[in-house]
Amino acid sequence: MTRYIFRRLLMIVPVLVGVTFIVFSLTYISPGDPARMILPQDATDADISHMRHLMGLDEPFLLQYVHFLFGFKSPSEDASFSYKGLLALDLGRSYVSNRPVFKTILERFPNTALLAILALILSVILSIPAGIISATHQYSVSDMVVSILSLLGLSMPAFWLGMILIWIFSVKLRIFPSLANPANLKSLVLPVITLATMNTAVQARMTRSSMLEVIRQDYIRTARAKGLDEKKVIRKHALNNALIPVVTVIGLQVGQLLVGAVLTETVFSYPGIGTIMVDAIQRKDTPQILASVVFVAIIFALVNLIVDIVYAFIDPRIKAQYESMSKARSNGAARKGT
Amino acid sequence: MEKKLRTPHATRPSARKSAKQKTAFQEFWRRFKKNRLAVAGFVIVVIYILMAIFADLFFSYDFITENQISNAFAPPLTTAEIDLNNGATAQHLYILGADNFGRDILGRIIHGARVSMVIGFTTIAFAGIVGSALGAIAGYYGGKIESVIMRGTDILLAIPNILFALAIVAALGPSFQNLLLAIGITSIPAFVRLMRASVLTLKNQEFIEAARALGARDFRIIVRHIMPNCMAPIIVQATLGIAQSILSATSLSFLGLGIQPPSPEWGNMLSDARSYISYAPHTLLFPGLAIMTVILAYNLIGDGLRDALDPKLKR
Amino acid sequence: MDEQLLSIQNLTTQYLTDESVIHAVNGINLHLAKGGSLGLVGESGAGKTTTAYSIMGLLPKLTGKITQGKILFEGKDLTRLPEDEMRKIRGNEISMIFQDPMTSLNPILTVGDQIAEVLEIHGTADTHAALAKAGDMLEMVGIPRDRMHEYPHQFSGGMKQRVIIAIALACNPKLLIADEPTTALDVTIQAQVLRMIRDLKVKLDTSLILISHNLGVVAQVCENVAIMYAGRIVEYGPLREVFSRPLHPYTEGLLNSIPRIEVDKDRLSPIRGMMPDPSTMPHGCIFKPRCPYAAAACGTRAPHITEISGRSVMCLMHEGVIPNTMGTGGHHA
Ligand SMILES: Nc1ncnc2c1ncn2[C@@H]1O[C@H](COP(=O)(O)OP(=O)(O)O)[C@@H](O)[C@H]1O
Ligand SMILES: [Mg+2]
Repeated sequence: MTRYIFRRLLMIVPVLVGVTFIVFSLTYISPGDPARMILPQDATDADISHMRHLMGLDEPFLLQYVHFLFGFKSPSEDASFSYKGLLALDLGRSYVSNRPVFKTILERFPNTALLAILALILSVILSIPAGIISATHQYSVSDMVVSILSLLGLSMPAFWLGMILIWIFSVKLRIFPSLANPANLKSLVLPVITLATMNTAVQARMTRSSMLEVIRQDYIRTARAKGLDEKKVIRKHALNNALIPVVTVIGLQVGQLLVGAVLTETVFSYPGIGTIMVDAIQRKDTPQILASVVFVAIIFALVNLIVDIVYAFIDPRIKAQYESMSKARSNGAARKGT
Repeated sequence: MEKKLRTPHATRPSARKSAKQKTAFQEFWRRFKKNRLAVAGFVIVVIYILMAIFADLFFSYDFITENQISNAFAPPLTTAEIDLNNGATAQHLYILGADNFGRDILGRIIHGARVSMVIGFTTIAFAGIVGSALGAIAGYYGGKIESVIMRGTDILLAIPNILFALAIVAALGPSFQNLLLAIGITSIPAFVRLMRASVLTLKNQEFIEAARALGARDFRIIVRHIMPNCMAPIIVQATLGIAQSILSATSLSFLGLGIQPPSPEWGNMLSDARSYISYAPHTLLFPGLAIMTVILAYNLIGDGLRDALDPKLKR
Repeated sequence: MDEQLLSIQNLTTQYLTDESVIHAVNGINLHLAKGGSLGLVGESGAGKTTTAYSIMGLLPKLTGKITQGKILFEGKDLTRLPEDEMRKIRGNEISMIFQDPMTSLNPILTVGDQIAEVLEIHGTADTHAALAKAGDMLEMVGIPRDRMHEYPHQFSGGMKQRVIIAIALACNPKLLIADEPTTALDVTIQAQVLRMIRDLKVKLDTSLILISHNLGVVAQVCENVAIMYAGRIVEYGPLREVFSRPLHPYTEGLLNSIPRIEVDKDRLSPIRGMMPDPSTMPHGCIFKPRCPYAAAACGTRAPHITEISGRSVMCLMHEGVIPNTMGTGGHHA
């Protein structure tokens, strides 16, 4: 198992390289010139090209990417032009605040994580039982209610839902505040609901269809033929099998949560990584945008890694598949060696 | 679709296949029609498309982009005086009320439908064509080409899609074209995977081998024999993809990264409405309902198509 | 006569689908003595599995329905038994082996757990003893007991089918229903599994219903055989007699389609045509469209069951309505 985890860790390296490369390329081809951005309006062309040199922007594309990963030592006296690179979580300073970009990100990320984790918990608590009831009582009233609610949840833009909740619960009923911050748990209620809605809908639908699929399987018939009662058939045989694909979806949903957080945070003016990103984009604060996007992408990749590993623990087939694969591979390597 | 299959050198197996295709398609259509929710979704989408096409018949573009400050926040069903361009004034019924600049909300929603429909269709047409082609190539040829394409897809999938669209728009600047590009690119991977999977299952079936044995070129085999047989899941994905695209576009516009005001777009209407939630909730309510209805409609169609294709899930 | 274990009387089972009613089983009668073995033979779609599900009470809840008849098991009518009573019988007194071993085991439970489960359900043993017994059962079907901690995907198809046999026999049932137990297996494995079923049947003194589309398979194991066609039992009798002198044209056709080494290949004569659609049954004899001996009367009058010295058959030739030309090969030949 440790070898599986190790292998799986290695597998995300090319993905991360790809992701960072794409994000880096995007900023590279971006028409805005960072050197012009930080210089005053009346700067001469000479000033600008000097600044480009100090910032390392006159280097060839690939070399700049290497700097992006491993750091850049500016020829300038001013240490703020140098950075240690993505691997050291240092991509220089914000053009706007002049703070190290990752400092801001790391300060604010726990806030986003809090929101996302609460939303994830809420969505799992609601969606899985709903999906199971819906599938095991196909065509019943509860199935219809779950199906309709999840379709609505799926179709509602989160930012709109957030504002509607504010209108109802903050403006009209005055129960919850319309601005959220992590120190005030009560203020988190609305953003968590907003963020959880889409996930709840997707997961409930997924659980339902996965469950319906599993219930039709031959091994469920075997379990019934043993004389097991229907409740136990569902709990012991259907549920675990049905949840295997749901776990993957939940993993993928974490990405959606991070994205949803950008919108939800904007609606509730919540100090998370989403608001950093939106602010940075509006102010054309390139290092901050770059760092935030790369950071979220990396978190997303890591979460998927964890999901994959969990997956292998709950599904013996995956583990076996991997083990036979690595055995075959190491055999092949051994043969090549001799 | 059936016609295309009957190539000049149609062999017996492929001819038989096309006959089967036809009945399968009819069966599929019959099942789809029986699903009332899906048909309702279909009707809603048709209404939106008609709205988009004939938007100018209801309201002129100039009228819904020009400020009528004195009528700002007029509630639904108020009649108020509006300034016409020639200096004259007229009475106007604001059915869904007016926004913060006194612009007609219904008119902006109808013109917004045009923007959303265009975005939905173009991005998915683009992603569908590019993605299916890449997927077909990957599945058909395998080997190095396949691993390059699939690794690329993995990388695209590794970035949550609105985030990626956001990065593209942030880099290239907010404009209609960049929005299309961003959403189009992020919609590609789903099609690649789907097409590749279908091609892999079809590749070795007898009618394909028959065509190959008769010396048909790869391109012809892919376009004439494989693609038409993979259409069903691609159509389902396209339907759901349009919903996703529209949602992404409104989200980006809401963040100020998509369609810029005064152009009417549901997301930027909501972005304006955000500042007046307590003061004029109608500016918030209606554009959101417009988005929700159309996304819901596409989801209903997508579900209906999927159930019709895979009836075992229903029984 | 021997004591009856199972007696099916006029059993009629239907599936209700959106479009139509499917008449899967149409008033069949079957009897099985204690310790006896019965082969149920017919081509795919004849209603064999539906018959088995009707006995087990495993028909799909929303669509499958027994509309008529009785299934007497030791005198109790299973069609009227409440679900919780039925559960006590399932897996305990009547067990079933399914066609596809590849998909019939739960992929995420160890085989030991899956065998032990049936023992726990029926209170035969506590958890610990059940696991020990599961090991014994594995050994009985020829699998080393230390493999009980493995998962189904680590077993081959033949071994999975043995595990399923172990599950079915764990509670020492009075009746075992094996539904095409070897159809999905390799030819070499088929014989092994079949022999195992036969030997265990004798050893555990279990009665057996062996379902197959292949007369050859049934011939190796069963005393009696029932031939099923379009939801009806068209012929029933002791296996040897049915084999040596089939009474129904369909049986004759089935026998002729068994490949034998000594017979010239070209003379193999599979039965022409297809079974009627079970949602729209033809008038008269259901086999008429495919019958080489069919006469005009067959299209208007449905045959009844005719008893002939301990055997029964459904054919107008044996009711004296049309002349008996069996053995001549009929007019198609
Ligand atoms: N769940 C079901 N719903 C509807 N029709 C069914 C169902 N199961 C079987 N049938 C139909 O009932 C008939 C008998 O099927 P079955 O008992 O499985 O035959 P066999 O086991 O002899 O092959 C067939 O026509 C089959 O299509
Ligand atoms: Mg069967």
